[in-house]
Amino acid sequence: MAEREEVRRVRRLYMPVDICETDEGIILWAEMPGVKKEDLEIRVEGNELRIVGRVKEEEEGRYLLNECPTEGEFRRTFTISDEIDAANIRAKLRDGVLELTLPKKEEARPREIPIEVE
Amino acid sequence: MRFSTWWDPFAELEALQRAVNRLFESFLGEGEEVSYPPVNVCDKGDAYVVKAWLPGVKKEDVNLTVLGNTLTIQGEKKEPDVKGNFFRRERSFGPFHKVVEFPAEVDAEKVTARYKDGILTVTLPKAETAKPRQITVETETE
Repeated sequence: MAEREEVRRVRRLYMPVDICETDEGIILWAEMPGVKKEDLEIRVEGNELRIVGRVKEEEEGRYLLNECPTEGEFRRTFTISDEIDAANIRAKLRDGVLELTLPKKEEARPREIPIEVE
Repeated sequence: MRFSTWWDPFAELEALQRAVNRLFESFLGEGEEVSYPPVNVCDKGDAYVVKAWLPGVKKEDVNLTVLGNTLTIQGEKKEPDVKGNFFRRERSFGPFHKVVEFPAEVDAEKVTARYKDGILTVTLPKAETAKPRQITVETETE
């Protein structure tokens, strides 16, 4: 008889993101309030970028109002282009916002070509 | 010169995820509207603890006012100043104002607030008269 597999139910939380393209690369901001550095996982595999942040609020008492989830996971996966220099992605977590900087490879950056005047 | 088509940004996966996210947007209940910021209020017996989700808000851009049995949280979430071409804008910015009401009066002098990891935690001790009291039931002896 097979043992019944335990199903881990993690509530998925809404994580809004902003993504901006500059000449140097892509900047991504993701809101994940309550997530600490050690509970955040950013993984690049092939051209897949995965962000997972876990949050848990521990407060003893009686809840009178419960508009924010007390436990759950912020989770999103993005496909990144080959133009991105995956080895040099930088991450910064501040005030509950993750800021990812994804630089473009040198050859993918737009170049200004000077026109010579004769 | 701008190569606007070189980048096939965050392909199909994202479209699917947007659909999923729309579902989760109503995570706060059956589509009920919650004013910004969402808060949790916990009654700890001698104090109330309010936790507000304010990711990306600077501490100095938040103002707290306590009066009687209400806490007012107001401020502004400012947009970072970045020059570029946005192709995803899901976060929202701007001024906010929220009033949280408690069942009992709080001691305004003793309120403390802390902002960490995008969460504002306000601890509001109850006013002396509002604190729970144990009432002993006296028994008459015959």
